[in-house]
Amino acid sequence: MKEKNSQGSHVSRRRFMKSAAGAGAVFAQALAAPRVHAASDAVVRIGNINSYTGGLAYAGENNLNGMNLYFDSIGWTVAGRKIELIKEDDQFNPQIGLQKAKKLIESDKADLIIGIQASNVALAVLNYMKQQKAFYVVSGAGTDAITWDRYPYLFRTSISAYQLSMPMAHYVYDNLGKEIVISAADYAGGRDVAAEFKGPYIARGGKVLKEIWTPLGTQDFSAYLTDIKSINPPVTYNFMPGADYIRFIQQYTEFGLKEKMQFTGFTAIDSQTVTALGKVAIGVMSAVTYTDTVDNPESKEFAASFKARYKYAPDLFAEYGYVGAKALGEALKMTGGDASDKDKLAEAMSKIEFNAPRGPFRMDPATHNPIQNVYIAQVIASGDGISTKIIHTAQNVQDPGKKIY
Amino acid sequence: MDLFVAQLLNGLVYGMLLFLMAAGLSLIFGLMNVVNLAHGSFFMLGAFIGYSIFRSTGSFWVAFVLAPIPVIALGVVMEVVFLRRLYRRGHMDQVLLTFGFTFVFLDLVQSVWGRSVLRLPVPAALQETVQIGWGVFSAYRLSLIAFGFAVAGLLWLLLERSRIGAMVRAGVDDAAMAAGLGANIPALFGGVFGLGVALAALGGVAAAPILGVYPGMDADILIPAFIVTVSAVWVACAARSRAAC
Repeated sequence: MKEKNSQGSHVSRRRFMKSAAGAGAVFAQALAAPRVHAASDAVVRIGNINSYTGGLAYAGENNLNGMNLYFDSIGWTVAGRKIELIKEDDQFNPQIGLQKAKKLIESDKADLIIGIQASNVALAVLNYMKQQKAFYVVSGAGTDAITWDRYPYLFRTSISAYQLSMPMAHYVYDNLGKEIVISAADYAGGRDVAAEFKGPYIARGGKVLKEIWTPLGTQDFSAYLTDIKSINPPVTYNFMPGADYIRFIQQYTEFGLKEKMQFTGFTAIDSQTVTALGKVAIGVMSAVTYTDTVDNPESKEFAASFKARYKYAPDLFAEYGYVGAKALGEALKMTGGDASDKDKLAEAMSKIEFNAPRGPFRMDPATHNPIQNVYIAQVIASGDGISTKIIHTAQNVQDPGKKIY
Repeated sequence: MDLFVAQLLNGLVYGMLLFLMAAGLSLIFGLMNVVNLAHGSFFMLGAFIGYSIFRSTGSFWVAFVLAPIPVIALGVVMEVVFLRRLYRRGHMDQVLLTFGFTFVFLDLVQSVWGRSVLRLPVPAALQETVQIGWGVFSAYRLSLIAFGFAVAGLLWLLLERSRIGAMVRAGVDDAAMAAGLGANIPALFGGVFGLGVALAALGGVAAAPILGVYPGMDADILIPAFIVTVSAVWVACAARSRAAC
């Protein structure tokens, strides 16, 4: 499938033209003076893979917009080197993601790959990256297993399933109900999110009445919702990626479940919830690392410049992209723009620490997953539309980096 | 038993959405012998255009009635300008052409409406819920079932009991003979194609409050609809044991 001319890709194309012109100039120089080795002028080639079509297309686009916002802010140069972003679409399909990773590393000679929102794609690409000993920054996918085997050149700048599910499990047990039904999409991400909720919830004394697995791309959830209604738990925990989630929440509301059992979820509050569901989303509660109502100066500045540039409010996927690009940018600054020495770059990435829009962000050198705040947020009515309210904050949550549940 | 009834109704609702799609597909495939992979795109276009009409008029019903019209126009243009040339050239060429159109329509939708999921709310008159067994049914879902049966009845009347239906059936059996007897075959087939497209677009608007409106809904509905079409043809063939199947 061809890439579309969204706002985001427009910019990257313009950037591409610029950097292509730049590369042309370097080439011409090299012809004129063949003995001068322009290593310090070399372009940092960043490969980007996201789902730009399919159910997670909006997440991919937000992620890219966040990255572009950061690279714009540093003028697409780091330590005197030009940055070039080469964008590829995985179509939410592990096989295609793998092909695109091969293309980026082998024919485009990208120095590293950043992005990937879908857990199944992220895992498929990981094996290839290991074979190639290539540098890999995950700015989305939350599957736990990706950091378990400690691939030294892998860093995640978003979240792990554990990181969000554990605080949510504790909050639900303490405040909402001791019995629960868990529904999740039947793929790597869904299985992880459910397991990482179930473990801490049962450990605290809770009881899981039923786990429901819905196939990816389920259109009609009525059979599952009827099942949940017949079990009648006080609270439910639910996770499906992208468009599935919207349909699920919509039908959950339509079946009258929202008044009877509190809906809790995993990254359920994003730009799509706001645009697609609107008032239908009121009451939905979710663990997130970022909403545009996180109250700190970095968050306010990020939301303002994002809105000025793209004419809509940033969501957590946009923030994942921004923070991923910023972490990488800071690490490249430390190495003097050198992305070829992967050990040096990995060492720099391990030391990354800054105040992100989501709050304090610190890379955990042991697991290569960030240590960060997790928020339990709820969608509330606000004037004519909706807004989000943070009702609980879990400070500095750390991923264990291994299977514990 | 309650659970059984509830799940039966759940199945019927989704079945009706598939029926609207599959009816159009099998009209076009069964009567015109054309494999139309772009059928899902008409479903998607119906939903998106319905969404836009809803946004500007505020009425679901206006959207429901008007949205199929531009989609039919698009479908008929596609049939007259492109597809008609391929009738004699077998299924593979038709598949290639209509598959190409799915990409064109997908890109069109993404460039006009973006990539996010959009939502068409249930019309206010049908927002109430009805409790049946364990299931809670919105009046909207129940009326979808009724709508599906109504469409099925009208289609049957049109094809089996009307003069136009007789001409269409004659055209399918022997186009040259029917044309010789005065039936305008190209116009008739254009009309059948338009009817199929209209059913898909109506299905798109009707499904939008339940399934959402998003790029990619074309493929999501096309595959199950094709399975329905193929199995319906198979069942019909088995029942009639017609050699032609």
